[in-house]
Amino acid sequence: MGALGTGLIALLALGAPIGVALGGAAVAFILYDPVLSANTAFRAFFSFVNKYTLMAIPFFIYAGFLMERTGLISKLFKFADAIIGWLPGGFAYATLIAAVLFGAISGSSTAMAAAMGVIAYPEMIRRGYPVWMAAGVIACGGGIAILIPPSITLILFGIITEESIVKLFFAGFVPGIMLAISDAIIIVFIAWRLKLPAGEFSLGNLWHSTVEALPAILMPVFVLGGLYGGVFTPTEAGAASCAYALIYGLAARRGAFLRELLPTTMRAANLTAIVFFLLGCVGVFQFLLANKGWPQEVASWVGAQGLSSMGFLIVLLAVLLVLSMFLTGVAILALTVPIIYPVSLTLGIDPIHLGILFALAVEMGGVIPPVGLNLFAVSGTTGVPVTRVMKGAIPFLCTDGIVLVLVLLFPILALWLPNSIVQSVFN
Amino acid sequence: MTDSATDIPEPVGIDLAIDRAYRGLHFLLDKVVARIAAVILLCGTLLACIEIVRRYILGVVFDWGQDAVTYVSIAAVFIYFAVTQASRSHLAVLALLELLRRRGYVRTVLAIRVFVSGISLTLFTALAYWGLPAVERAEKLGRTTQSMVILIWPFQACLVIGFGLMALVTLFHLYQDVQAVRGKTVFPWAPVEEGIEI
Repeated sequence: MGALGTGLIALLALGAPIGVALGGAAVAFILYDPVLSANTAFRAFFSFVNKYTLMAIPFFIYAGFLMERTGLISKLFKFADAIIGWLPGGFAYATLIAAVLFGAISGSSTAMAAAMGVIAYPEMIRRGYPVWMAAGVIACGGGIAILIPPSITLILFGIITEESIVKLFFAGFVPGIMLAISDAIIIVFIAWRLKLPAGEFSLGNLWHSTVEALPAILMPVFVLGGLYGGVFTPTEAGAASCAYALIYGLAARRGAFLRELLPTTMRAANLTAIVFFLLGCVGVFQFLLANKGWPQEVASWVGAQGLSSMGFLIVLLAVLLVLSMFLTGVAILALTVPIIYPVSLTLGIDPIHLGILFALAVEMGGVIPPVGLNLFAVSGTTGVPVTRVMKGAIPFLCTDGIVLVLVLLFPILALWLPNSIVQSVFN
Repeated sequence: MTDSATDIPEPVGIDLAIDRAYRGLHFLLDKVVARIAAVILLCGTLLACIEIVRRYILGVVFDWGQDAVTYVSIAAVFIYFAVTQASRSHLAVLALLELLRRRGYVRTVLAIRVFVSGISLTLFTALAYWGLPAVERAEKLGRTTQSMVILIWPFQACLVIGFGLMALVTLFHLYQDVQAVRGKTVFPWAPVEEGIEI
C-alpha cells in the first residue's frame, strides 16, 4: 500500500494527468502482484464507466452548454436585476440569484463563473462597483452551482460511493441556499460601506424580463420537479434537460442554434471525456483497493487512533481544503473518496452528510489559490488579475467557511430535506 | 529557412515527415474523430429523450433503451479521449512544475515532461494491448449488455481504439518533449497546454 501511495503521489507531483497517475500506479501494482491479471485493468476501466446512472453527467453538462447557446443566461440576469437591482449593490445580489438559477440548469461551477464573468462583470463596472468586488462576487457565486442540483460533483460522489444521487441533490439544496444568503450578507455590508449605487425599480421592466426569462426559469422547475417528484431518475432528468434546451434553442434561434449545435456538442464531449477518463482510472484504482482490502486496513488504523467521527471529519476537511489548493474538485473526489468513504462508514458518518461536506470543501477550493479554477475562469473572462479576484473572494470565502462549519456541526442542515422528502416520496 | 514570425526553423527531412504525420493525425482527430464522436453523443442524447417520451407519454419502453443510451454515449466519449489528449487537456497537478519553472529550472521541467509522456504512452499502449483479448473474448462468446440484446464487444473495441489513438498522440507528445529538452521546438502549431473547464 505504501509503494502504491508513494508512486501515486510522485506521479501527481510530477504533473502526470491525474488519470494516468491513478491508472499507472494501479497497473504497476497489478503487474507486480502475482494474483491479479493485467487484463483486469482494462475490464475494471470499462465496467466502471458503463453505468446508466453515469450518463447523467454528459447530459447535464450538455444541457448547460446548450442553454448557454440559447442566450437565456443573459435573460436570467435581466430577470434577477429587475427583481433586486433597485437595492444598493443590487446587481451583485442579482448575480447571486442568477448563479443559483443557472446552477439549477448547469452543474459546472467553472462554466458558470466564466459565463457570469462575461455578462455580469461589465455591468457591475458600468454601475461603479469596485473591480475586486465584482470579480469576487462572480468567482464565489459560481461555486454555488456545486451545491445546487444538478451538481456534477454530487453526481460523481454518488457514483463513486453508489449512494442515492437524488438524496444528495436534496441534501445540497439547503447548504446551497445558505451559501447564497451568506454571500448576500457580505454584499449588504460592502454596499453599505462603499455606498454602492442602486438601480431603479420598474414594474414594467420586471414583467418584461420575467416573460423573457420564463423558459430558463421553467426548465429547473420542470426537470428538477420531475426528479424530486420521483418521476425522473437523475439520468432521465439530464436527458429531459437536454431535450428542453434543444427544443427551446430550435424554437428561439433555429438557424444560429443549428450552426452551433455540433461545436457545442464537441465542447460537451470534451469535458465529458476529461471526467470519464478520470473516472475509468478511478475504477481501476478502486478495483485494486477493493481486492486488497486496503480501505478496511485504513479504517481500522483510523479507529486505532481513537478519533471520533467529528474529529475525523475535522481532519478530513482540513486535508480537503489543503488539497483544494492544488487539485480541482473532480480530482479531489477521484483521489480521496475511494479511500475515505469506507473509513467514514465504519466511523458511523452519514454518507450523504459526507458528500455535502465534500462538495462544500470543493466549492471553497474553487476560489483558493494557486489552482482555484473559478479564480482563473473569472480572471480569464474579465481580464482582472488573479490577485485582485482573490482579494474580492476573501470575504465570501470567510462566510463560506462559516457555512461549512455549520453544516459540519449540524448535519441536520444537509439531512433534513432528503430524510423528510425522499422517504415520503419513495417509501 | 526560418519562420519570420517566431524564429523557429521550418522542419526539413525527417522532421518535416514527422510534422506532416502529426498534422495529419491532428486533422483526423479534430475534423473527423471529434465530429463523429459529437454526432454519436447527440444520437445517444436524442435516444434518451425519445425514451423519456415513450416511457412517460406512451407508457412503453424499448428493452434495450437504457443500454443503448449508455453504450452509445460512452462509445462517443471513448473515441473523444484522444481528442482531449491531443490538446493535453486531461486534468493534472502542475503546481510543482510551475514552481520549478518560475525558479528557473526549465530543463528539469522539460525532462519531467518527457518522463510523464513516457509513462502516459506506456499506460495507454498497455491498456489498448490488454483490451484486445477482452474484445476478442467478448466477440467469441457473444457477450451482451444487461438487456441481453446489444453485443458488448463493439463498445469495448471503441475503448481500445480510444486508448490506441491516445497512445499514438502521446508518441508525438513524447517526441515534442524530447526535442524540447534538446532545445528544439517542434510542432509550434500544436498546443502544449490548454485550459479546461469543470
